[in-house]
Amino acid sequence: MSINTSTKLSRRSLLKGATSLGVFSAFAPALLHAGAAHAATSGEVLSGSHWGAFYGTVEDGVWTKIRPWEQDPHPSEMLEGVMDSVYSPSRIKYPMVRKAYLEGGAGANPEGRGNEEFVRVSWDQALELVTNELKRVSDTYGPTGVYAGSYGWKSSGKLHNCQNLLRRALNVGLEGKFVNSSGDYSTGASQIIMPHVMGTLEVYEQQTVWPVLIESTDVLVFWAADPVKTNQIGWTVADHDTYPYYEEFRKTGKKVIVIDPIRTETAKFFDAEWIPIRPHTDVAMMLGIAHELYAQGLHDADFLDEYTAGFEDFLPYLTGESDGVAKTPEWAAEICEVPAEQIKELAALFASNRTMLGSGWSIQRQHHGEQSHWMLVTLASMLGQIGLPGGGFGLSYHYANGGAPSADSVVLPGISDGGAAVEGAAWLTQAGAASIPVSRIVEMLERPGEEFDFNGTRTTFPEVKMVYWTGGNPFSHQQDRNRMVEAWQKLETVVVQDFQWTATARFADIVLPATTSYERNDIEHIGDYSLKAILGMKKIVDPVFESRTDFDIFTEIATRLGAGDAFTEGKDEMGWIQGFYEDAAKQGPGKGIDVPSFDEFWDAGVVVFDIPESSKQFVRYADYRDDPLLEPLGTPTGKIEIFSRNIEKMGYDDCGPHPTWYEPEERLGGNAPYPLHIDSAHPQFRLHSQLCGTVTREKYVVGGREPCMINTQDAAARGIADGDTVRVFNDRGQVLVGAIVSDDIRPNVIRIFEGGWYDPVNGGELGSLDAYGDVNCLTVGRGTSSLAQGNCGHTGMAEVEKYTGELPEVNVFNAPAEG
Amino acid sequence: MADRSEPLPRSATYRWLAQLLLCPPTRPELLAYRSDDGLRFLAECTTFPALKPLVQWITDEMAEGQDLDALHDRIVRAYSRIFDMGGKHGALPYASIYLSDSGRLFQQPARDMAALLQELDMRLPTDLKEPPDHLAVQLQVMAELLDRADQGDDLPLTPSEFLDRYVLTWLPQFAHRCEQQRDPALIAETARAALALGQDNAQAAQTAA
Repeated sequence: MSINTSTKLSRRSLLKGATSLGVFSAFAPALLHAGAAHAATSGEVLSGSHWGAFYGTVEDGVWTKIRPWEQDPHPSEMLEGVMDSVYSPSRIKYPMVRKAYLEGGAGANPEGRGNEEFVRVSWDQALELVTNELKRVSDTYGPTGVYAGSYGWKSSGKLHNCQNLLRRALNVGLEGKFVNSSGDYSTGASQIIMPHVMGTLEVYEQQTVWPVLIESTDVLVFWAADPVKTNQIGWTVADHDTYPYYEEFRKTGKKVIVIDPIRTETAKFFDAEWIPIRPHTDVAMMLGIAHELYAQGLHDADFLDEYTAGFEDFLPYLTGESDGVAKTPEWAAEICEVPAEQIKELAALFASNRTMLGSGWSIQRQHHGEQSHWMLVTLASMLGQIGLPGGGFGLSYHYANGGAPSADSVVLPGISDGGAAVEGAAWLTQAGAASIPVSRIVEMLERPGEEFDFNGTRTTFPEVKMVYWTGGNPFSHQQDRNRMVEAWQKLETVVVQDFQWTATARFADIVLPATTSYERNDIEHIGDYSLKAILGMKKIVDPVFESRTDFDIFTEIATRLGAGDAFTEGKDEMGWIQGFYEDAAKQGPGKGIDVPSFDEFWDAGVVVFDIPESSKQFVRYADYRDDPLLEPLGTPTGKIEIFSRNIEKMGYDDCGPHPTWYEPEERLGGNAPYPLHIDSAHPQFRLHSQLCGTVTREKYVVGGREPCMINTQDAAARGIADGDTVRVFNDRGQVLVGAIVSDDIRPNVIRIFEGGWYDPVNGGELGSLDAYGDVNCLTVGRGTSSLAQGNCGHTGMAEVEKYTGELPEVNVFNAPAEG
Repeated sequence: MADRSEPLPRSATYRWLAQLLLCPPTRPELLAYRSDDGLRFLAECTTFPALKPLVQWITDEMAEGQDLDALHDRIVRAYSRIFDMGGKHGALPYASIYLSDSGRLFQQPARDMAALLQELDMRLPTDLKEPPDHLAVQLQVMAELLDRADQGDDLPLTPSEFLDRYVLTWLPQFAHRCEQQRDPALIAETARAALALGQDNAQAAQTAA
């Protein structure tokens, strides 16, 4: 930049203001320094996120524009929010400590969490507080005093994996003395039951690919799955490779059926037949179809005989021989409110066509959720098309672009948490001195020392006194918010490390400001299943305010715990990134893949791999079907287990040895303390609660609040019009939301997307009205069953009324301009 | 007591307000207002009508017998609540929040201030992790412009032009938001003083023109 010399400020003149004041200069010091700063960078940087790869335009050191990577076939509308997240007023700018905690120390006024003021402190003071407390709690309460099972979607990237970094710091610095968590909120029930049934997690596995569906599938069923909506995001960097295939499938004109209480985005896209089932009754409907298949002799007895185990033990239940209740279409219709004739027609349709049963995960995030996918697999087994092109079932078509053909790629490692490696999902770690099923954290706090069942084991809830949370927002994803608020008060210390003032940060004692992933360097795959590229996630702008990278923060903590060298292994940010890349590159020769050097890769920003034709023909379980003896499943019998002896041995009364219809705690048509069932689906324009604090919110809020879809009849009966602010309530909580009156939702069901930021009118007060619309104020906080202990985020009934009181301001987003 | 014969320059008043807006005064800094130098500084400030209410507030709060620790505690909490947290209890001191359509940080006002600093051959200290459109930075720039105008330097814009284009475009909104905050009133009084001082300057410039 050229400088107009006539306007240059000399050192002498600069200092004049201060020196001429004499002693008064102490009251009015000059802040600015002479000499211009180095010109801020400008240009375009390729980087990535859960929402896809993108270019960030930087002008004068400020990120000003975002455009999608040219090889993204279906860029997400949410990219604007990605950029916005960096400059949101909800950014945490400095280390902060809750006032009472700073003054009174651990355990001071825990009821003040969520309401009390924070005080800014220096990084040094904050890190000293954190490390001293880690040591104190560990020394005082033993190896299970600290909870580091921190869970959430964090940000993409193999290095700044904040949850792994947290556990790594505690593994090396605290000798692994912490409580961990297992499983996740997405698939808590299915990832436990499926290994018993199929021998794998199933929910995070590649699907029969879309080119095969287009070629071979006659009937495509999306059972509680909305891939057009949810495949906008990915755990790594979303590739969006399935979207062009959706177009191709639509052009074939083949039949698509959506079974869902809501006419989903997918239903609209495919102009699908919509079957508006009652929530929570999917197992009953599946049983009804299964009964019809059996009654009409449409089931594939040969397949059941050769590839499955235990159908004969399940059959008496299906026919009613064992319990006196035949699971007929008529029986099912009473429960699920899908006409018996339609159930019979579906049975005939499925059996006479190549049918793919694609299921989402919402039907396992409910009381007895284990049964849903178990019964779906049983139904698919009776149809006998598992392992055939275009047939069978799939539990991941809606997730991370499942079914996108995979590239011939090398695979990146990532920063380890220091615990034992576990096959499957990256977060299924075994580090720590104890572990709980991740969504049972409230019970853990409520009932330390009490025993609980989990997948054949009986364990004791540890007595946790300190929680360290990073890269997640449990005050969004945990059910039964008010119960959680109360349980949280039992903690002596809560540390939250994040880049914005989420509800969880507001309920902390010590808050550490992390950078977004766009203020640091990292590396990641593009495409969870396709693995189509490796992306250099280059820093777009410098860290804002006093935020620091997760790697830096945990390096500091590990160092203060006396284990800095073990934590860093002598490598800095770029050293780790280069190491990950070069470890992956070593796979190249063995796979016949030409992988460029790190420098070439980093300069280019991305390396894209070829997708071979063979990948476009992948059929899940084709190998098993071809040779079940040489390619057995990972189950005890090596077959699909319709009846599980292992589960039978566990003896649970809420999860028997074969798929079973259990009445849930609450449901429409069953035990219904309130008239409306709450559908808490994944949001259209967020990733759970991520981006809720950004401009993307403008796409969907109604009157500044989270939208609530309600059926036309239900709205009319309550005098509610489109756009009205309504109060949704039950015995667990109350939220204000904005009504969307529509016939795209079946009667007696309302939909409030999960992930809306909790915004209590009176923070910390139990039962306080939530001004924005966190649906988990209303949902049931219990485990799915003794087997999986997954969450029940879709279980809950409520009532709705037009809100006529004075409307409380929405404050959770901290935007004064909106105030 | 300070050995000064010149009246307090106007630039010093901007720097004083900038300092008050940048971070909460430490306990020793508060105590300094009870010293002879502090009292004289406050007295000189009262020659600027815009500053009188702020000086009065400080004088009252710092009077002998008042609990200094309690005051300091209240001020520190207020700074965190108002400047660091935002929301209904907040008034973020950045022009971008008030001048950009999105109400976001680091928007065009921040870039404009960064460009102006470059043009003036000035920079922020490296340990100041604040955007250049922080009100404190703007008031410091105003002080520098006043000093340099007094020296007869050739400036890219006059102090009053700077006020009109960069500061008074959003300071009224900010000051209004500060006035809505709870006790203590230091921030509200400081914001009000900055607005009044700026408006006085602007009016004087207009009259002179």
